[in-house]
Amino acid sequence: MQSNSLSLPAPRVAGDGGPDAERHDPVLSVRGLRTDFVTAVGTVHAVRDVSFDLRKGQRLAIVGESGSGKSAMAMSLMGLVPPPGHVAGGSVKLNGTEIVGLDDAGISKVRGKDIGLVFQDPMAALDPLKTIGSQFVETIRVHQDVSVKAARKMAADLLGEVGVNDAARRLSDYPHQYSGGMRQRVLIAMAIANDPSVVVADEPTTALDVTTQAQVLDLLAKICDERGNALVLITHNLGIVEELCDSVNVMYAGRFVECTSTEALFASPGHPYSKALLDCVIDPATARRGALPAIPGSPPDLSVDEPGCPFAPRCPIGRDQERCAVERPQPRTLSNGAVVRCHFAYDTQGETA
Amino acid sequence: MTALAAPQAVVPARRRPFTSFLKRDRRLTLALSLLAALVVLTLLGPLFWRIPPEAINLGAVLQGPSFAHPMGTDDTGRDVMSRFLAGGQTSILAGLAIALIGAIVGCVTALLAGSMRGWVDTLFTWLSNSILCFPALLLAMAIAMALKPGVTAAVIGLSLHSFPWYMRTLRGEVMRLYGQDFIRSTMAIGAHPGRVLFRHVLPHLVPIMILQMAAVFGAAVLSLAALGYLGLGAQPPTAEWGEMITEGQQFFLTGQWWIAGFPGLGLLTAVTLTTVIADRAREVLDPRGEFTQAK
Amino acid sequence: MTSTLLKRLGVALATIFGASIFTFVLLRKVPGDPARAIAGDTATEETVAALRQSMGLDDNLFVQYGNYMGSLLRGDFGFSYSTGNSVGTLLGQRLPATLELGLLSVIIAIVAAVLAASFAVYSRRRWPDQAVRAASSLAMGSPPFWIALLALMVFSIQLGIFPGPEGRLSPGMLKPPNITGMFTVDSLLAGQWGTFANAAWHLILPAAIVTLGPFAFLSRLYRNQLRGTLRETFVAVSRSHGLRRLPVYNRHVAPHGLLSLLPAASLLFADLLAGSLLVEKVFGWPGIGSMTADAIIQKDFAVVQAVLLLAAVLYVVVSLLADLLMTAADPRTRVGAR
Repeated sequence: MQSNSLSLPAPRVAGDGGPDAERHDPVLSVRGLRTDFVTAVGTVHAVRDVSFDLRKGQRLAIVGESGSGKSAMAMSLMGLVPPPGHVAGGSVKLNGTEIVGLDDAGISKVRGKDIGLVFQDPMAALDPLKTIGSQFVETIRVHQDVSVKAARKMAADLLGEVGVNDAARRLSDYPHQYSGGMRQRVLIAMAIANDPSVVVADEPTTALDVTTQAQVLDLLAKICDERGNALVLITHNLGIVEELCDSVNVMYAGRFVECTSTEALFASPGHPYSKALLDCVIDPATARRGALPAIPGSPPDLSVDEPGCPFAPRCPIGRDQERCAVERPQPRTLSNGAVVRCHFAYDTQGETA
Repeated sequence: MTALAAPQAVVPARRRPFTSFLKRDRRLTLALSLLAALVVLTLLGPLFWRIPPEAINLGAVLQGPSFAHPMGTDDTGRDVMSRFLAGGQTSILAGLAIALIGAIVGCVTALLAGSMRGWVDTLFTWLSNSILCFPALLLAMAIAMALKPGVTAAVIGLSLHSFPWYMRTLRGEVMRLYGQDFIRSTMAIGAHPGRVLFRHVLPHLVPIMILQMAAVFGAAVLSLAALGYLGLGAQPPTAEWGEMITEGQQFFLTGQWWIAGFPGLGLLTAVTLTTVIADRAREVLDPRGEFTQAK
Repeated sequence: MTSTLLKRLGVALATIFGASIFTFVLLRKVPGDPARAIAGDTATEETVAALRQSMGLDDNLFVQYGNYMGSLLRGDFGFSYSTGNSVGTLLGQRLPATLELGLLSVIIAIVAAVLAASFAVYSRRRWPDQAVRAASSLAMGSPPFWIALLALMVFSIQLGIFPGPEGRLSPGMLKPPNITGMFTVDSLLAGQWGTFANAAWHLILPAAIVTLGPFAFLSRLYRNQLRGTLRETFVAVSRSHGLRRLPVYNRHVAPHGLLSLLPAASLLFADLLAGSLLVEKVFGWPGIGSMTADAIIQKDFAVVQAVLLLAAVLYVVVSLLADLLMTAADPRTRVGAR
């Protein structure tokens, strides 16, 4: 079955995908998003024709290797692509409002209020010259017309909620007096302070100690559950995906190569790239001594957009296939509901179609 | 930029030839070729413009620019153009000498201080602090007075003030390098300390030194001219741009602008071009401004 | 905290000690005999020998250094043979003129550099940035004495809107009562408006030219700092919270830039004594700089020694103060981690 030309995957959500969820319009709707970085050595097409929908309360994971365009996509959703990058086309609708092409005033009304972002590196994400309290109060008062005193009270409550002890007093502390894990908690609290419908978390734990990673992720999931925010979790850690997310979009070379539910992905990955990623997850129960599994080769140069499947040179199936070298695969739906961009995807029965 | 490391990772590090780099950067190309033209002009010009810079001609005093004298003549009828070329030679060669001497002495002391540490480091640091606390021009003036005013004394004085500046930056870099894993692992596998120094530490210092040399060269050419202007640099009849400005200044104010005007323009052009080139080089070699903002 | 403070103080003292040895040795190296230079060529050998004796030049170097430092600490800077005054008196006479010129130009440089660089970075368009960079490159490359001549020719001789190189006041103009020694300030304090206008009129052109170098240095530094800070993650974080460009710039970008400007600006104050030397010379400005230049030509080594050492002490003290200010202004050093 071939999907329509809009290349719009309609991920079926396992578990809570009942009629209740279907009734709501998507809180976030992305169509044909493209993001370019114009550099001296050429234009890098970091995000190429990305489309997806996110419903209230949904938890979507975006996975892929470094350099697959995940972070560029996250920044595009916020309208925060740093120069020399820019959104080159497509549409991002938040609660029905188009945000691509908004001016500074317009997009500033949306940021923080409709969509919040949790950054990768909490050590660099707070202004070292300002107290946590003043940065928090500032964040609250951008969107809410409250007094400094009231905002401080709200900030203390939120900090307490994310697990900062003695929150009221620690508002007067500076960022360097907080540990990395604590800073990420503060940043999560700030990101949800104005109750955005969508929270995007861009590898929120990569920079943290392994011991605090799980705590911070649990906190993120818990907060989004309680408040009903939809979550987009960008990660390369499939373990996290299995634990926290209900659906997954696998990204490769700026495109989604597989959009599916978490269950379906782990039960039977459709795209050879997804399968390769899963094979790289080391299961201590079955691990044998010897070389760790790895995907051979490296991600393609994103400044050129060659015809054919970008994964073909590294693909166990497509490596020798003439078709994969010349014809770009279009999205199609497999029998388990996954939408993949692959001529020879593994279907549920384990055959190649 | 940590928030978005992805796109960089995607572009494989491609080594492009220097020429294609120049093609893209028009301003740098222009500045480089103008400076090169000026240097070539002053170094080779005297071969073609054969009027001796010291030749007095009382029959052609204070003449404005003409075909016979494109930059006019001074109050003793000397040809300003040949003096301009000779003066440029003095300025540029002395500037280069200061940049080089400072770099060499600074680099050697930095390597000694950074690799031996202890009292060697304390001594050199104290020495460089004790020199850097003087204003460069004042120090060079005092040294010119203590020795004998002239280009040599000026070069000594300005080099003396430039080497601690190199040393201070390079010493920090040497210490940073010795703390780095790749150096420590090289030493751990038993590489000879000299080999580590020359093969692994020194090459990392070169780009920093080049940036510093560009900055020192520009400042040195200006200070040299300032010394010449004050009568403490090149001594007449040696032509030097600063000294020429002193000679021409009284005429500058009475309308014979060319005697002091051309050497001033020469200075302005040479140093501004150096600054522009150094700026661009810094953007390429030191994008975070770690090594070149100390002064 | 106290230990780092003491350490910095120790380094400062050691540096001053080094500088004093340096000036001492340097000026004992003046070619020829200082006593002969002072006594003049016509003096007899006996006169010169007596002078040598009275100047202590026959003692060994350590004794000489000890005497030299001892008299310095008593506030005795020596005797200027070329003017027949004590060096302390000369410095007192000349310092206000240099301070007036230097302070005004440093203030102009800081304000102009901050405004120009902020505009260049904030506007995000290419031309303001290129204009500021071009201006600072030109200012950096301009020989101040030549620009001063050029300015005199254009503004004083051709256009006649500024006075010629006649010093701080028009000839015949009475000095204002001596309070600070800075004519503009003193005349204002005394309510002498005519004198104030005249002093300011004489001050503008030299101050503008002394400003060029510091402006070039600060504007490019501040521009680079701002651009670096704009790329920091915390700026993107503030934007992601919905703050608009201007508030993010004012609250998070500019403070970092200004903090980094502090040590740089302090260097300008440290260079106050000698920074205007060339311009003073061209404009006939009766300050420390022109005095030093003359003293060097006349080998009046007591004056040179005093100015060198004062400049070094000023540099060390200002750097130390800037260091302490930085420590106090930056919460990362002021407040310890938990």
